[in-house]
Amino acid sequence: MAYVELRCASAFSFLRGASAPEDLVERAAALDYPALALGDRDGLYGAPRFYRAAKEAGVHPIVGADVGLRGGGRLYLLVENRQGYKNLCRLITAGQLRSPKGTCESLWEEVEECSRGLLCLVGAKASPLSPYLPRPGHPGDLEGACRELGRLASIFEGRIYIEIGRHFDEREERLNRALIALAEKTKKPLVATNDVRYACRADRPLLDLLTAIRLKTTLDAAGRTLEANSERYLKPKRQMEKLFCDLPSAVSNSAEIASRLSFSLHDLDYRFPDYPLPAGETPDGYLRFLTYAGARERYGAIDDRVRRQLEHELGVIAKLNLAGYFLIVWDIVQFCRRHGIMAQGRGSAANSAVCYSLGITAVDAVGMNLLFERFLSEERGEWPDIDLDLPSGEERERVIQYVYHRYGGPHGRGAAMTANVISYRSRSAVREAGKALGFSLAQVDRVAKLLRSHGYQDERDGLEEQLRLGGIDTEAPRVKLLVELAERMRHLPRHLGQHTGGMVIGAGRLDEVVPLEPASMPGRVVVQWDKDDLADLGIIKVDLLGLGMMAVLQEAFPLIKECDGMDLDMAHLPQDDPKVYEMLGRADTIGVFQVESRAQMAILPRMKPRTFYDLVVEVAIVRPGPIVGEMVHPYLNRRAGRERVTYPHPCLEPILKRTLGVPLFQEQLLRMAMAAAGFSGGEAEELRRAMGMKRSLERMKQIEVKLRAGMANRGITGKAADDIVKSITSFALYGFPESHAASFALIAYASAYLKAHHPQAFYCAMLNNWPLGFYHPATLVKDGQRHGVAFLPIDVSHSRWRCTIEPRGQGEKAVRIGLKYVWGLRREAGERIESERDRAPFSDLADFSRRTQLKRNEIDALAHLGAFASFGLRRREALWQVAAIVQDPQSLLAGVKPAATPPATLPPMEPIEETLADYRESGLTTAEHICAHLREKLSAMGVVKCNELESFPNGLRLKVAGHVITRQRPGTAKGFFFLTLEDETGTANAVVTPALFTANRALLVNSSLLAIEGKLQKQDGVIHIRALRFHPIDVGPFLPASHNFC
Amino acid sequence: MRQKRRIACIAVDEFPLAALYRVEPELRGRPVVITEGVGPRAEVISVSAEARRLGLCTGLSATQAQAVCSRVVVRPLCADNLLGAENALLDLAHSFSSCVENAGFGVVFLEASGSTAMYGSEERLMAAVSAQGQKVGLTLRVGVGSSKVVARLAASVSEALAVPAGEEASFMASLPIDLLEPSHEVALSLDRWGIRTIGQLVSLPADQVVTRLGKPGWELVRRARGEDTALLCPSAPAREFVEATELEYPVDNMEPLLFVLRALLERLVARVKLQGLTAGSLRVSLWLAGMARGETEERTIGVVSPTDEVKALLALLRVELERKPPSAPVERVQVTIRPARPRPVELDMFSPARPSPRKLAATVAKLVAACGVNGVGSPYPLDSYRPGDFRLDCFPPARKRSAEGLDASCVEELSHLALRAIRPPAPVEVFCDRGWPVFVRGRGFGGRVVNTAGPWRVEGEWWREGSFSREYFDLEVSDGGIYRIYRDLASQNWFIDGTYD
Repeated sequence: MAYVELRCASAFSFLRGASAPEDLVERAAALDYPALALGDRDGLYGAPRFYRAAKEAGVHPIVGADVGLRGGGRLYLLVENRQGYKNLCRLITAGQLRSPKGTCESLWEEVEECSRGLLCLVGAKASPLSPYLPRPGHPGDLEGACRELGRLASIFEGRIYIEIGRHFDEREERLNRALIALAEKTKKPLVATNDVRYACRADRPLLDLLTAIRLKTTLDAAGRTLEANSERYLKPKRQMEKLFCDLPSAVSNSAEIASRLSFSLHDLDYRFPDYPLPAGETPDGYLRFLTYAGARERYGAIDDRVRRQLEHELGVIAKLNLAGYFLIVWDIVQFCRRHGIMAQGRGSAANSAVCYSLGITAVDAVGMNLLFERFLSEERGEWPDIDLDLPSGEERERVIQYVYHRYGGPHGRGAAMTANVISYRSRSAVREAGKALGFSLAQVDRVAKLLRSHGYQDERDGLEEQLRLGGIDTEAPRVKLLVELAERMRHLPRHLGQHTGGMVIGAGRLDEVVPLEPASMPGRVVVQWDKDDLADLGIIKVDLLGLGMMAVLQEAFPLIKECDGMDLDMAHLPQDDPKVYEMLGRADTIGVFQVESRAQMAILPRMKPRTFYDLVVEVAIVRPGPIVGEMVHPYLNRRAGRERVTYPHPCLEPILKRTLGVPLFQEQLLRMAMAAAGFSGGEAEELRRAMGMKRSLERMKQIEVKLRAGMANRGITGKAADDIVKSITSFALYGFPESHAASFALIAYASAYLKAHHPQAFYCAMLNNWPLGFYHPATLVKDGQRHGVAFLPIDVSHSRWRCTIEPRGQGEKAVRIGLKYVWGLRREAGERIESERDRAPFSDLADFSRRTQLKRNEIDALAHLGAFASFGLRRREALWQVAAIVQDPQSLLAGVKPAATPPATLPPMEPIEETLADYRESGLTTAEHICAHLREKLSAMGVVKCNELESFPNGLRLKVAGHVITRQRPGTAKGFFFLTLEDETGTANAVVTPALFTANRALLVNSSLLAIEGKLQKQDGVIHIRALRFHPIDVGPFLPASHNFC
Repeated sequence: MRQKRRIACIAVDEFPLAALYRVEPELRGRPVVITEGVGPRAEVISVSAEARRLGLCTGLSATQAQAVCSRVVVRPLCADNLLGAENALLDLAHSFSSCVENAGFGVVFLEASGSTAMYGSEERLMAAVSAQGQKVGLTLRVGVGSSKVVARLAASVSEALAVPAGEEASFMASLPIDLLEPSHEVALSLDRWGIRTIGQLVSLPADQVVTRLGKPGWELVRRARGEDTALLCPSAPAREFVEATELEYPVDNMEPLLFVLRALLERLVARVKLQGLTAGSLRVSLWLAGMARGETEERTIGVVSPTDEVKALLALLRVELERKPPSAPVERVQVTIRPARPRPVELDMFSPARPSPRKLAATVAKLVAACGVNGVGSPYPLDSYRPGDFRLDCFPPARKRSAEGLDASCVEELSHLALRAIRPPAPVEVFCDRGWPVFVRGRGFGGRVVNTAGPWRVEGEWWREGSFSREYFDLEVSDGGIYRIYRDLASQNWFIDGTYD
């Protein structure tokens, strides 16, 4: 006699199970179970992880689900064969799409329709039989139960079992007696299950906690909604046999059922849709045609090297039967072209010359000598991953809708968005566990705030340690419990979200491959698996990602054509432009994609990029991976010739030569693992996946053991081995693949080119597509002014809703700030101003008010901003008039024009007041910087200007002051605090030691305008102030807030 | 000649904070902020000078305040504290004048002409007011002027200032316009016009200001000119003196509760004394955990001999509460004193001394205490797996209950074979064979086990100190009885839980 557990709910039953699928499998393997079934509530969310873990552990994974029915009750269904799997997916999808998010209500007709290939276990709890079983005050209705069972038996003919469980619960035993009687009467077989909710007995507290969280109550108040005891763990077979010693057939039936359920997720019958080919064409032939046509356009003449590469790639694509996939991605890109939407492939696709030729990517893989196998290889035999960057916002949505409609199929079920499984992280775990343990909201919030949510965290930097440092008594019993349970909750799934842009498409019905469910966003449907699960099961996804800078470029190129008469596009920008590199070299990169952060600006003058490849390195080097792996300084020192180029081992020289012996890209690490530790291609791929995954730390640890063993076999031990391991494992924290860095570098180059050569169009587009990047529009305007761009203030007679470029006379042009920057002005009001003005110019303020019918606060804001200057009104004059305008058209006074001249006692606005009014009403000013108004006072304090710092000697003690535009305290910086000040001449960076930060925290966090006294530090052209003292300068609350990364 | 009108304004700075200091004087000198709202979004609305020096200001969230300074004391705005402080302020004002207007939020006006005559000068009156303020735990600002506006402004700019008649315009001209407390819209318009002082507003043509700012503008201009002829709206002196406090956590012990009551009584008696009265009766209202909204447990205690001694009043409260302790932890408490005029007492020379009612009540309460306060009341089953878990409601029951109110599972338990529970469960000796009881022996019963049902396991409340883990068996024993026994899994000891009838 053998027993197989057929009913398990994992944490993917969302707050109804306390163990990850992997933990259940691990326990099953330890207990020597030949098979295990996972049936989560209303979905197959955990199935891929369960399948993968089971495959590794040698346990046969049985797929199932606990499906909700309309009108109450649930059916526990197990998959017998592929048809059953398809039916289960369809049944869940139908139930999910019909019901509000988070619930599933399948109809009986659908159950009847989808019953083939499925096996049903029907028991006492929440089943269709439940209403007929004995309950308090009711003896039960055996006849009724027989009828209901008969109905189910007619649907699941020969595939229905009566399920009984024993959890040492007196009431359950009464139900079991009724079920046994029912089985005897109807001659239906019994099967024993333990309705497992967690892997081990010790996990029961976690389930109780999750139950309290689910019910939004505390453990103290949860009462009997919790479990009565700790019996819902995966029990040893012998124990189950003993429990059911009076019903041996119930135990043996479980094994018999398991032997019938042969289905496995390895063959989902997933097919990518076919691209509609022209008559007489084959996919491979058509792809070849398009590739060569594109290559001729890209390369001009196709030389041998390019041809060889294209042939190689086309050969691999043909062998893997992937031509259709490339054609569909090409089709999406073509759609973008046709509709003027910029699109550029990123990620490993940039390693492909075919993708470059097809216009999918913009990086010349041949020219850059990129490794195609990182993108696609015969050995791996998996789908390639092509990510497309699109302008964020409406344009991206158009592309997504195109894919839905073109490839969604006749049922509309052929396409869906990728899910994103949101897991508990430290903060969310502490918050929810704290509430369930009865801590007050304020206490929970205080504790949660102590936890760092961003940046690198040391492995020793555990929850308990962080709380202890935050002054929490971690010895208090409830706090101890909180720490323990929150630790255990971490990484358990919390809910399903929607991936930012991943789309899955399939030939035929995608809802037969994976269940679909509604997303929170109206009209969107998501699959129940995340990107890793999809990749594991060979399901293809196309990432359509929104990128703010793409939207900027999209808007800037037509502006350039309109203003400068130059027809530019991404693919035809002049390469290696010296002005661009000169600008990058002096870290003049505010607004430039990817290289505008303080850290990037600190590297740029040392790096001094001179070629496009330097920019690729620059993009990749300021990442947690290289920083924590301590690769940045060796690279910069070697580049500057201060350090000799060496290699951890001679076998790594060919791999690391290009980056001066320092690994910076993911590809290099994979090659290092192959060369130094003898990793196979598959193992290297496993390493890559581990590096890119959220659960990577655990997996990386396993891989480290393999790495060391492999290196030891090749005689690499000691420091060399340590260095290699450190390089590789630190990338788990986040590093870029070379091709991805190259794609981003292209956009960075394009944005830098626009800033250097067409600043008006650049700043105009930046302002129109904000929020993006690091800096506030106020900073962008000031940066633009320093680059000679004229900005015109908001004016109701000239401004459109968005910022525009307008002539200023004598062939000069300026950026006119758009009405969208007037805070509190509704979009429809702004557009009404435009349309009324297009109809006829406004004659005066009264005319403006009458025709636009703005709200009082809107017109006041415009007057305060000086937006009526074209009527000859100064700000206070306008405000005085606006206040007298009677807006009610029915009023007798409606037509009366107010006195234009304000009383002499109304004080005129000082220039500094005008600037502050600009900040207050629009968040930016085209007039002088606030520091220019304060310069006299600042000079008296001994404050120097930011652009003068360069002229002072290193080590000099001085004062600098400005508007605080960024604050940063990165996890990688050991508690150091960085801030950037901006004055009328430029920006200055200050570094604050952890002790000084703690002592001046309030000042540093709250002050918008600050004077800093400190020592000047100059190294390789990078200038910092090492702060010693601080002086706040009060100018009121209206300066724009800084961009904070604290 | 008609005497010119003189109005005094008594104002308390940072009123929520002052109300807190009155209740927790030990917080003076420490960085303290008061927050309004719930949870992490609670907003700081009042800041002590010490906290302000550390960079804290109003408008921050509570979490931000703690992030800026971890040692700052954060207290939520407490309606009880505010009400107590406001009433104390009114009591104080009434001790100086019969014509007192409560302007709210720590500001009162009073007719000062008569009082000035009593004290000799306005300066002396102001000094006396400040001194009385100390007695009720409030730090006051006092201003005197010809109108409420002038008096209010005088109190705003100085701790004690009297503005002589005829000098109002020059006094007000340089003061910030915000002191006149214009509405948000009016303030925004004035700020945009660059009007920052009262003098600047007065210099604008009034008709044009009114055209633009409407009625609120007109009222503001009048106030700015000191044209305030509004009469005081007198409030009546208190008939009862009330102080209440919400406890930080529910209190279920007598000592902490009495500690709280003492503080309440001290504040109350200080107020009663201001009026030259004594406590005639006491009423204690208790808000208990689990009570419905608006429900309280009330105790009224007559004070046979009116007194203003805190110690005596507290003793009365103690006896009453020990006689009949609160049926659940106390979350909020309110004490009301109904005042009485102190009467001289003449002792009877010939009657035998009768026991004082106060002492009698104390004796009864002690008797109840001797019987055990936990033994009085009616049991009510709790929603818990802990076998036999119940709570005691006070007797007679505080709330009406019916069978419908009981949990369905409780009904189920009642509907089966009746179990005569043995409390406390008695230890028994059990012999097992491979984990199953085969022989059982206890006080008054014992024998070979004939039939067994079970085990039924209950394990729970692992998050508390008193977690439990038991394994129950129903045994038919050879002595003819059917028993329910259990094994405590933590100690491995066996107990008899009950016998089946």
